[in-house]
Amino acid sequence: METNQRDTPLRRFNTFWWGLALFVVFGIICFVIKNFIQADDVYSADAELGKARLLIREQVDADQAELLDYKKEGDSVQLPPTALFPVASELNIIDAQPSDSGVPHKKEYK
Amino acid sequence: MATTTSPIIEDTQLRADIDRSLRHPVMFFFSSGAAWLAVSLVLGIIASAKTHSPDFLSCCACFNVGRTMPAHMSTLIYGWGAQAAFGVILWLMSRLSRQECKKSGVILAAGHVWNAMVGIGTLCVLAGAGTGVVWMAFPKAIMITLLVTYFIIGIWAVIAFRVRRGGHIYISQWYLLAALFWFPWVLISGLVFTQFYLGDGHPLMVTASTAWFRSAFMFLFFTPVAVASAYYITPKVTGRPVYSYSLAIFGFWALAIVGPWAGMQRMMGTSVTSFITFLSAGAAVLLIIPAVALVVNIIKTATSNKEAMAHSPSLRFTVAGSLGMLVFTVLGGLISLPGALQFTQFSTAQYGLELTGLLGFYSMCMFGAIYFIVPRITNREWISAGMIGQHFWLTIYGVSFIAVFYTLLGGFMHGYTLEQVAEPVEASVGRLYPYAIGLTTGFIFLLIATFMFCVHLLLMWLRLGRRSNHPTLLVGHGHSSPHGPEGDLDKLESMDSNASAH
Amino acid sequence: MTVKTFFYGLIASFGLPWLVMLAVPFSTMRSLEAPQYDEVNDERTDLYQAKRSGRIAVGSLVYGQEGCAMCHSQVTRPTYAGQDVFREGQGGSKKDGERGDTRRITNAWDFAGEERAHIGESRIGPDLGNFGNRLEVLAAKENVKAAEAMGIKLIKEDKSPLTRQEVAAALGDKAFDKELYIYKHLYNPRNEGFEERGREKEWSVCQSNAQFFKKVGDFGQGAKNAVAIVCDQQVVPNDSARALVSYLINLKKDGAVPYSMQYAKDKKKGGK
Repeated sequence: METNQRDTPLRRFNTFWWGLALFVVFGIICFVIKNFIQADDVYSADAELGKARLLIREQVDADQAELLDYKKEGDSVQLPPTALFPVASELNIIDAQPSDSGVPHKKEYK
Repeated sequence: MATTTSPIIEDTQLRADIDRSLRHPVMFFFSSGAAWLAVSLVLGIIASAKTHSPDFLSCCACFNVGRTMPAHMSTLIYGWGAQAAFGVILWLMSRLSRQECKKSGVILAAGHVWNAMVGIGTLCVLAGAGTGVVWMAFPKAIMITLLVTYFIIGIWAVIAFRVRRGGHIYISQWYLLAALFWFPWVLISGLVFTQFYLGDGHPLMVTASTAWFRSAFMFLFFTPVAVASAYYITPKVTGRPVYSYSLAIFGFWALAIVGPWAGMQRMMGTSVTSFITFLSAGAAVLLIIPAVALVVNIIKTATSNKEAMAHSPSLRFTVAGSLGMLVFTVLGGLISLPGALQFTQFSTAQYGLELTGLLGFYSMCMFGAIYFIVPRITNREWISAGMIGQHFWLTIYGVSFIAVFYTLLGGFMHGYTLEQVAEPVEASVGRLYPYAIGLTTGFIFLLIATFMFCVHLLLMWLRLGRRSNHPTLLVGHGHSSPHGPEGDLDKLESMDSNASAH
Repeated sequence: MTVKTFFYGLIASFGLPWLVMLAVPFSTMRSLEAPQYDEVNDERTDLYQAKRSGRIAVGSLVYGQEGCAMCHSQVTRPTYAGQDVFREGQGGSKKDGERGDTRRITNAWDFAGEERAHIGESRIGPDLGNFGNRLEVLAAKENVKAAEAMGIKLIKEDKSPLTRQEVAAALGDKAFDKELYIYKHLYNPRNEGFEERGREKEWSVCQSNAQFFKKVGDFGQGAKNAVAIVCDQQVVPNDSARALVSYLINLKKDGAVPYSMQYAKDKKKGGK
């Protein structure tokens, strides 16, 4: 039998990897399409509905911030609560430790 | 004894070497495939029985239609269909490229993994852990393993083609090469678009991708493998060349160009982009062209040697399978016409069509190939011509029943009743009843035929076939036969030695 | 034909339909926006999008896994493709009490929240696209019957009739239990004496879905959603069943669509 000149280890090796590549070529294209083609345009109804909710949230936050803002009303001044936190201990308006209220316990465990 | 062997003897030696090298993997694929076919038909009977007798086997939830139907299709496609294809691809490509298979061990191991995956997947589906995707009901991990296993099996056929001994490229080799590449392309696309894009993809397009996948799988994997087998068996058995090589090439490109467009017609009327549904309906009709090309070639080649038609089981199954392709594509075109689709889209016609294609066309061609290949790789002949004849006729009865009664008649009658909107739902359920019974009956015929085939194949696998120079033919040879005297080889040899001793 | 031309031909003949039928429609439909209602024409400004999340979305998965789509479809096709929209209850109701004619074809936003649209393989059983609506109609009818039996007045003081919700509220615990109705059908579809639309359900070929139920001991007053007592044990639905039932009750694909989507020549404004 004359030797088969096409049958070489290199040709076999080549065919193996080219064949594999050609097998998965459409998978690779799928991967590219999924991640790069129109990937930013993916519509999400939840995100759209979320936008409406976020608008309401922003409105509420803005209104609340306005109400809690620094205001001077005659002799008194309204401060936002966060302004007092750094000086709370100096003004003794927040106790550092819990203390005995003086009222005895009434619970009885039987 | 001559010092140089003649080319004919060398060629015969090479063919024997190829057959011996492929014995284990190919026989394994055929036997396990046949077993899965039987399992699939049993599951199909259960699923079909449940549609007319819902209390049948109601003890266990695993027998519900929603589980047995996907299990039935999955075992039919991945258990029987794919494995028969692998066996045929490997043997045919090796023979046509005149290359021994050097990786039988690897292929055999991969085949075992394939079977294990199909088994586990089927159990998952029956336990309710399937994906619910038609034709891809196995869990994702199993599908990926099947894909990897396929690479390990199929790449050797590609290599065999690449390093083939030079000369003419046979038409079967083109079809097989195409099938080898179409399979992963279709399967990867199917998996990615229906199972891995979820969360991203529009639900209707995910379903549409499934519809495309099924059609593409049928027309771009099963069809070319069956056609390749037909284009090999027919000239081989009749001893005549294919009637027209250019018609065969035309048929190939017709299939390649039209085939991938079909499938979306099942989404007609849903809100996917409507042009794709109409394009697919058109493609479904145009698929008749490659079927006609095949049938003309096969019938013209086969009838040039009428004796072979009557005698050879392989040829008989192959010719029946080719005619089955024509029936399948004509039926498919008929029920996909937009006017008909109104009735058939949700009736029994769709499932019936799939069965006609898988059992009436693909399986018949595979049976023809198996009856041809197994004696060559086991060095034994089939034991009983009667069993082969029974297998043939019962399969024809079963498939014809399904094609004519269930698909055509049932599809339109059931579909017509569904469209009578003034009638309550139970009218269509009542109309379906006889056709469901018809399907169960068709399946029972097929199961009996398959059982005989499995037993026959098992005996061959156990090397219990006849040792004879005579192939097992459906009609016995007369006294004068090109194969020499009839009878068991051992007895003939002992008769010879007795004669020469005297 | 050389091997090289063969491969070029193969890639081209496969690649083009793959692009046209699969890849491009898929990536384009990913960015399909839900229509906005129009403040002027529709008198509302939210998004036209079915709400399906949580247990209802899980129910969609259960529906797919159990193969319900093998026998039930969920699509009402346009008239060029079928007569579905004229079947009472499939695309909506011709006269749905408070809402009038709600029949329409299925559109692309009806499957929002599901991983895949369960279009269905065949119609061995009825189409379930608007099952939720049919159930509401049935519930309303049953509630009216029960209210009349209990002597509850169905007309308010200002001569306007009670709405469905008001009738149900008036009945309290005795209101029609939609979930139990579905559980019973799942457990025994051919429940004798079990009426739907005045006809018994013996014709149903749906098989008993015992995988959705578990047996627990029968004690006390019993579970509210028990469907049967078998051998001194109650049969109660499991989590899959509850998810599936949530999904089924939510199946509604009818009603008016935003003005921008209406194609009738005499389209109406202010639809809800």
